[in-house]
Amino acid sequence: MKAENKNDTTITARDEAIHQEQRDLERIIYPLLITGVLLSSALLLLGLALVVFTPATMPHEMPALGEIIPLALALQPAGLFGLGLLALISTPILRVAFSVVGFLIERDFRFALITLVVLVIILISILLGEG
Amino acid sequence: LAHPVIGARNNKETMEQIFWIAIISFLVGGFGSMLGIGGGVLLIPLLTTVFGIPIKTAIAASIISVIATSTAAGAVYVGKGMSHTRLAMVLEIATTAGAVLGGLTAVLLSPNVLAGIFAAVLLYVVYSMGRKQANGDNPGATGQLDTYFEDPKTGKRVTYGVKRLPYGMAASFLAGNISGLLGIGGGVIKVPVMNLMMGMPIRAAIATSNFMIGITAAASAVIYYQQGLVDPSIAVPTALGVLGGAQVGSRLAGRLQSDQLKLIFRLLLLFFAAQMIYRAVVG
Repeated sequence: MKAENKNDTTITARDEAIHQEQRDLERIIYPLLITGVLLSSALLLLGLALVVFTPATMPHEMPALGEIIPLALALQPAGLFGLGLLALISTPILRVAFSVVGFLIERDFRFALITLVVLVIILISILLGEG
Repeated sequence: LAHPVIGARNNKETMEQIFWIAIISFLVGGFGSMLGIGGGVLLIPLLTTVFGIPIKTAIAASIISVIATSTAAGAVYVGKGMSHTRLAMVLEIATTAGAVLGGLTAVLLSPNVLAGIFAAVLLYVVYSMGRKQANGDNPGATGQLDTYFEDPKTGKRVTYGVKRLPYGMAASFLAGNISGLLGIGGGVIKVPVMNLMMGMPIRAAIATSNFMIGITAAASAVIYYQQGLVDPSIAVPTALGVLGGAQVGSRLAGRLQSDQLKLIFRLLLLFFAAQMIYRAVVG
């Protein structure tokens, strides 16, 4: 990353190629984002519908990570809310993970490493959050 | 509506509160997306003052809605190639680190201190919304992370590179820190720095910042979740409301007078800043 300032409007062939590869990667990421938002909204709405239309009560705490799947399979609102939020929180994290793979495919190891650092910091926060 | 249903069972009051939180979040989401601002700065004061929700619970609900809007908006931007993924990842190292620190600090800080910091950020946002934007036309390559996008209005190619990356890193760390601490996206800090100091066109700055915000918010959301601060009776209607509102708002954007909208928004924020200062002092 050079700091020199040429300030003309041209762009190198390499940067042009990078841009095209980026666009290709984004075409893969688009369905991921849409799926994440729709899946999450559907789960949250289903949980809310259960609270409104059945005797199920509205929980005031989220279930622990390990309890989410069993509760969701039992169609408990807490489980559906947990799964819905998990889907939502995972979407940007998965996007970062996809970018690491994308950079590796492009053989751009410097940016694969930079993106991997971001992923590691998020994983650290998952571990620290338990404390 | 003063201190209702925290911990209450499934009574009429809870259901009413869920309904009104969804309505208010819908309005905030719509309003925010028309101005290109995430709703967090407005949402948290509303949740705490109108519903008497504790500030940390409001922050946790807001950070989840921030992920929702960022992801939904990201799906719109991603097809247009306006977000600068490489730059975003470089800056994201600083932002996520800041967010994790912010999230961990927020859990420890007293609600008064959080309200005081929130008031300061609100005042900054009021000031920041009055600033001019730069680099509208074609700023040109700089030899550092050069890229381009097609302007959706004119169809012309806009080429730009990045300047003053260290300032961008510092602003990103601060933005991440504030985001983790207060549950807002942090775009209000990043976008002006990207636009005015780093030489990015405003559209690219907004798209790139939006891309980063979801990742940043996810990093601190896991902390709030695991600390038991996410209350589904508040977070769920907030996320769904903001998401729905943003869908409507982004379609209405451009049809309404954005200058007047901006003025109303700034006055509201000013009012809430005063209220947060009161809360910080009186408790």
